[in-house]
Amino acid sequence: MLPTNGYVLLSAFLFATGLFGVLSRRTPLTLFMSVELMFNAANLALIAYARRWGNLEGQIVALFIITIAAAEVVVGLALIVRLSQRSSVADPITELEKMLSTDAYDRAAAD
Amino acid sequence: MTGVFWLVAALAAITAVGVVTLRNPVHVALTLVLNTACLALLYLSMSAEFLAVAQLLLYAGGIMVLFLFILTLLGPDLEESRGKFLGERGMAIGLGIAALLIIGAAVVQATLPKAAPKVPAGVEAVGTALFSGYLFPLEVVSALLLAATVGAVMLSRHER
Repeated sequence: MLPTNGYVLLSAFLFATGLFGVLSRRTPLTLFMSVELMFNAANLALIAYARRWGNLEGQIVALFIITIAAAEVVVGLALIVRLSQRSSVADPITELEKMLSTDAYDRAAAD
Repeated sequence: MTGVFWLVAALAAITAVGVVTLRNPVHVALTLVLNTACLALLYLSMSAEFLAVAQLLLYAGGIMVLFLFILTLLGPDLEESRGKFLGERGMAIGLGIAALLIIGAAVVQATLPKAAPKVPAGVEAVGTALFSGYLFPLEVVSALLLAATVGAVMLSRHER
């Protein structure tokens, strides 16, 4: 039997990588994919520990997590499409930075 | 068997790094599909056959196809732009490494049962557990899926 710690450490690495992706990505689609990576990491840890303890609860919770991830992606992608119809949302964080900086600029000009 | 595990684990780690670093969103989606397939193989190696098949069907077959649909819908001009602030990327790397260290330390220190008990393996055992002890959560999840479907239809409908 392969070591449980190997699986869980791989899961920790995947989770940390996904966290880095969520923090550093700027387009909503790739940001979402990083979130999926974190979901997968959680599932891997759950299944590894379920095998180690010899019961099925971890597997069942992992199944629920996969289902909820699917629901989350459906609603999130619908929101992204809706936003993209409204304005250029290819890079919302840069847009936000621009808005904030012009706001600060306006206030500085008013003073 | 151990060699295969390390091979698949290394492939999963490499594709995960690809998911967070590649610039082209289509490449990102395809790397995520590879990563999902690696994880399904790992589930198989833990004799979680039902989860492996569900992972392939739902992630590779459903979720990633949805992502690729939206990519074709929104057009190809979605290249990732570099952050204006240099500190942003560094902060993300720092927080990622911190999370890895914290989780890793917790995993190494955790006390596990000495001998692993026999796992009730197989699709049949999962199905029996799902429809006996976990029937109510299953129904709640189905209601959630229905709500998500209706919500997505409402959101993507054109206003008149």
